[in-house]
Amino acid sequence: MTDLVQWLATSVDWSSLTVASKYFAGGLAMGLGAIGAGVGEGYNAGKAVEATARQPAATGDLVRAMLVGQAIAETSGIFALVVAFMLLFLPHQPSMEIVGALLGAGTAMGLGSLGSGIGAGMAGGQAAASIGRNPESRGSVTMTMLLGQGLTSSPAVFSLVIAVILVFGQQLNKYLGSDLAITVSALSAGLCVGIGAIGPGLGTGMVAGGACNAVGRNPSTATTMTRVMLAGGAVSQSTGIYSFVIAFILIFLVK
Amino acid sequence: MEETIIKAAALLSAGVCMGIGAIGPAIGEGFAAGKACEGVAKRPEEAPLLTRTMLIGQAVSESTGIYSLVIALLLIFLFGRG
Repeated sequence: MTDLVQWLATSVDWSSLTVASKYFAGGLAMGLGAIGAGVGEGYNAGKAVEATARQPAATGDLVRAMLVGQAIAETSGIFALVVAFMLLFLPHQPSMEIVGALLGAGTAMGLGSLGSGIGAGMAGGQAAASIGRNPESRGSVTMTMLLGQGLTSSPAVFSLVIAVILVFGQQLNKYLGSDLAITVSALSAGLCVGIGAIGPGLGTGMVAGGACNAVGRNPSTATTMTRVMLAGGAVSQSTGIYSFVIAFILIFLVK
Repeated sequence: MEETIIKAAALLSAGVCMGIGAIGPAIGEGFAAGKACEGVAKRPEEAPLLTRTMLIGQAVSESTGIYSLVIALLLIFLFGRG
């Protein structure tokens, strides 16, 4: 055990591994980050096509609602793209700790955009279905959809914040040494906020989808529905906030 | 030196614990809130009752997320800083 820690600190070529982990983490961020947005937008488009088949006269409204919904589902994919660029092109000083931080950043953003992308797509899909059933409700359904998708995207924003802190850790005079605990806690912070964002993204997507569906059936309840959606969505976000807090503790309180 | 590895393992498992532990409660709570919205659409006059039932159900669903939080904090502050 002692040998392993000494071997890690002295005999491993961390300068090559730093470069390798930059590239691997960049690929991880964008590769995993593409899943959620892709699935979510596909679901949204599928529902819009179904609705168009039912109500061909509402094509214009449906395409507009679909594109707005997809644009918001896309944001988590764009976050992943930005983090992937930062990982690939920002300069980093080679060290053991930065390897953990970069891999953590890639995992955080890749997994973190999974739930938000799919969740935003669920909201958009249910909104398209509602507009297809009841084209007059398009105004209040679109408002509910946008509010719900905003809530859905917040886990991806938490992941983005942690990923950016990890990528810029060396500018804060962190991640320059070779402490195993700090290396692992940076990786762990990324895993924590990344995996922790999957559930809240999907859960809030279900809330927002249910709310869009309900506003379409009964547009006069839009105000009450927004209140129920925000209350339910906030509770569904709570575990994502716990993950965010634990990630912060892992980054800033571990010495 | 062995302590370093134990510390590292505790810190890694804290992140994994809170991360994976956050998936279930959030999906469950989202499902409950989605159904509550559908319920309000059917019977808007029962909105306060539905909200109350939703919050009670969500509080129970939240419990495992709080267990994860407690375990993660224990792993960091009890075993991860030695």
